[in-house]
Amino acid sequence: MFKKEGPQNVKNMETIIGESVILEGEFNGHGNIVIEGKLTGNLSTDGHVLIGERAEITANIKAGSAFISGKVVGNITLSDSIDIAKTANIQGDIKANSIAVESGCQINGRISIGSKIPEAPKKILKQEILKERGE
Amino acid sequence: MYLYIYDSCLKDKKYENLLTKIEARIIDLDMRGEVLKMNLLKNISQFLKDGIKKGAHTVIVIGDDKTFSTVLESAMLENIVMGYIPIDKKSKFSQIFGIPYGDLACTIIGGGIVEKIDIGKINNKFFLGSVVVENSHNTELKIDNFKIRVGRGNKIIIKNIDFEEENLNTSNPTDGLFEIFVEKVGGFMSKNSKHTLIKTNDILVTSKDSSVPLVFDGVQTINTPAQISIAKEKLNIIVGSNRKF
Repeated sequence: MFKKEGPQNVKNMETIIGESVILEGEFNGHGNIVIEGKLTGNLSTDGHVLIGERAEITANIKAGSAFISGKVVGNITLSDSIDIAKTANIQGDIKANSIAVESGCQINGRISIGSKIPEAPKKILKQEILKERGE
Repeated sequence: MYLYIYDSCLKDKKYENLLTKIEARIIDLDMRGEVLKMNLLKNISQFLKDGIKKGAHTVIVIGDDKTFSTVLESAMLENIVMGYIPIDKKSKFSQIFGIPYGDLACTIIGGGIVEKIDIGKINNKFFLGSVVVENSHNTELKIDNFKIRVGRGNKIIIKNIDFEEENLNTSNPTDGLFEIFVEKVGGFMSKNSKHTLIKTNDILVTSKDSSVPLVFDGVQTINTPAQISIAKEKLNIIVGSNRKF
């Protein structure tokens, strides 16, 4: 079921990136992180990530779980769950153990739910086919 | 043996009664020592060095938070225990350390609970409370592998100890970390306000064009570029049981 964990719920958040903040680079946090500003680069944490409605993220995200209500351009890889709000705009692949999606959100990418993400179809070269046939 | 550093303002008549009470209490508790009355010509470091050679173990500042900050640097370099007898009822350091005002502080000092706390270092200077970057939109903070910039109308505050009345318990001077806040200028920090909080122990502050002043402990200034790091549990300070950490 979709959880309404909006950006106002910032109790127990160890890192908070406010609206007026622009962060660039490799951000390796610990614990729970709220982002309401802009982030470019990569984001990783072992805890929960909350992407606020006004946030603009151009980064790959690796975390325990996430709530997304802003814009994300990049792949999202989570060991646990993802909740996607109707205001979210995700341009990238999502891998998580479970997903809850609110009607109205935009997702452009592959979604893999469960313990294993399926591998992309392997490109087979013409030479390999000819080799297999012994030609 | 104790070393006492008297604030230059104690010459003022209005402190005469208070100082008499403090000195009487010091004698009662058998905490006598050498005294340095501060003025521009007196060298605090030399006073501490000479005192330590004679066997001094503790320096006690009788004054306000500004005086305490001034002595802090020399005390850090000489690695001596610090005590504080505040003469300002609104002293924020005294609230943090759990030290009462005036002669009542002597009993706490005599009790001698010594805690090791973190001290901030900005270039080659030391600070206890915080560093404020007023023109924050002109600056960039580099932390580990990332950079932070902020928009206009904000100020960056790097805190070792938070002296705001309502936030006295939010920063811990024994955790080895700074808390970085970004606040709207003119706004108030409240539970619901938008603010930024990142914890770290090493920050490089640079500025785009000209140098930007950084104010530390509310009284001293240094210009960018500035390396801000934490000296974990570097200051030995006498505290009371009502301390905030």
